[in-house]
Amino acid sequence: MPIAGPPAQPSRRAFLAGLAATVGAVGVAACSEQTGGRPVAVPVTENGDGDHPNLVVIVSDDHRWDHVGYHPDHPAFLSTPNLDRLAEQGMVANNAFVTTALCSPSRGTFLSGQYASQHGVQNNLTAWNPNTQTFFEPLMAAGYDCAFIGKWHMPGQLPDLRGVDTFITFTAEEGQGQYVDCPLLINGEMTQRPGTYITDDLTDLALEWIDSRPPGKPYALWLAHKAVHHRFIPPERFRGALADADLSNLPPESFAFLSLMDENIWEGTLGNVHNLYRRYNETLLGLDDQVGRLLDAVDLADTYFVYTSDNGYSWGEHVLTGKRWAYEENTRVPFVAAGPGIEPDTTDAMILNADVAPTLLEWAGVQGLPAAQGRSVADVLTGGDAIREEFLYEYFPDYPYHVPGMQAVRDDRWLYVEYDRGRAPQLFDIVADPRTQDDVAGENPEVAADMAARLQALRERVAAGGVV
Amino acid sequence: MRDPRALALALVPAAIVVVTSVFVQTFAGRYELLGAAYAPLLNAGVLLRAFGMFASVILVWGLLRSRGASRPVLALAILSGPVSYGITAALDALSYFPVGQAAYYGINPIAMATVAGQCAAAAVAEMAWRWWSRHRGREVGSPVTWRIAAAFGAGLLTVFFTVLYQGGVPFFYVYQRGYMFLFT
Repeated sequence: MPIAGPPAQPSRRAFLAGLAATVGAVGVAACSEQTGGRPVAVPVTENGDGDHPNLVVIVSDDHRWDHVGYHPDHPAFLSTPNLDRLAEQGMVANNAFVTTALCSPSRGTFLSGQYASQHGVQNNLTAWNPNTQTFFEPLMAAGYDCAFIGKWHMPGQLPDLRGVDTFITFTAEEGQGQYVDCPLLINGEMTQRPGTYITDDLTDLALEWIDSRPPGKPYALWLAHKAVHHRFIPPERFRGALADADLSNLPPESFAFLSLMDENIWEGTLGNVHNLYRRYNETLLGLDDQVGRLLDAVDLADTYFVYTSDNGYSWGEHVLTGKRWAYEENTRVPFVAAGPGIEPDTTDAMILNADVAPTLLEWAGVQGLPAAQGRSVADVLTGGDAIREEFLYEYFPDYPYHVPGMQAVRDDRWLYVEYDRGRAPQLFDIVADPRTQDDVAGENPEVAADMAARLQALRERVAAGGVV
Repeated sequence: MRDPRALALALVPAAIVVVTSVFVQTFAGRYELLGAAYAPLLNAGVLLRAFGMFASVILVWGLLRSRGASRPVLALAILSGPVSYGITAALDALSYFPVGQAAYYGINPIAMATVAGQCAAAAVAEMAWRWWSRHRGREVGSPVTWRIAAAFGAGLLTVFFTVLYQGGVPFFYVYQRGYMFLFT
């Protein structure tokens, strides 16, 4: 299926290329070492010269961190051979988190490197600011071919996304898309896709795009899947594959019809949660084999390949379905990176969705995302030391979901959460209580006070646009 | 009210909703307390609550009709479950949202669907009551009239489009647009 050619933007590209060259020259002169946590500047060429690696990032939707075959506690019935294959070739981050566990804010953070409070997409109702800079812009200015393929799902009008040659997305169901026959907006042209399954279709388009890249020119591909978001519709080949799966891994507080509780009623999970959970995992099987197709198509000797998700998902923990909360099931995401110089290993270093954009730019040897608040974890992914000990989590009310606004700080031991509307703060000892069942704020007032102070400091740093 | 028993019957749907809501909120997550009965009890609780919201008028409609309940009492029987849900939902929403938004929550798609569901259930109950009454030799009119059929069809269609069609997603977005129009 042919992809329409990139929109003609010669003046913008020329301007950005010139800007990048200027930035690069200044960067070489002024930034010979780490400054403010930003990547070391290296010379930027107008066009790729072979020194710039390709970049492929796959972002799935609602894929919780422990539902991958390589996770030691993954459900016994779940097999993800392709993600496992990626993990065998790359660095697995055991402590990858999102700064807001909700689709739109998290996607904004991935693209901009900024917190939701700064890039402005605070929930699924607040619009993307078209002036927000994404990592695509400096990449394109440095000579990369860039494609955004898949889920955009940020409120407001679809942007004329700066920095991409190819922009393929969907608008059905307010940008959520649909699993079957989902129409796609391909470089501004709406195309019907009868007979298609969305994960396969997007992967087909991604592979076609890669195949059509001119030799010697680096590319950056952002592939954002709808899967495994509700309504959890697996591809035909996996429907019913887990019908007999033993679901004893579900938490003890869950029950089949907890979806009918007010807290869960808007999560799109009405019905028997056990059935939906099976479908979630069957949908995941379909995602896994498409990750494998893309993995087969790239050469990890010259391509960085990242797999992660926009947020996790609760399947009954705290009697909840869905995401949004500061609990582990919601904030933790799978994160695997493979590519040049990355040896197969695992790291316990804390990695955030805000780190992805700076990391991509460092891999590309490019600067130019000054508002980013995350930091490059390129060094961490080659076995370097952790770059942070704690992070700020923020969630803004998203009508009509029964989740209070909250801000939290999490380190390796504690999770401290402050809520809006007069709710008492909570403190969880993650080491002793990994399921965050027991609020121990009352028993640890000094820890709570210390965490409150650290939360405030982080809040102020983020509000000032600082790097975290 | 001339017939306090009829009034009490009309409030049975509301009682089901309130009692099951309290039960579910009290015991959700208390698996250590309830042991092996946890999941069956909680499942029964939420399903009974849903029945109370959507169709519980079916329990009392025939009794009310046999007692000669007035139209306002019959209307109360249809609405008491949905209204009790709407009020408890709006009060609960106050924990998350300002007053105006919490009030808007009280007319969410689920609340709309419960009214429609109860109308459809009342239509079914009316047909059953008429059939039963005629069987016993009482003159109550045909069990199937265009009004009863219309109430049944309209109720089911409304439930379908508000919460069942595509998982209720399209109508949910209509509701959200109303929210954005009113509050943003």
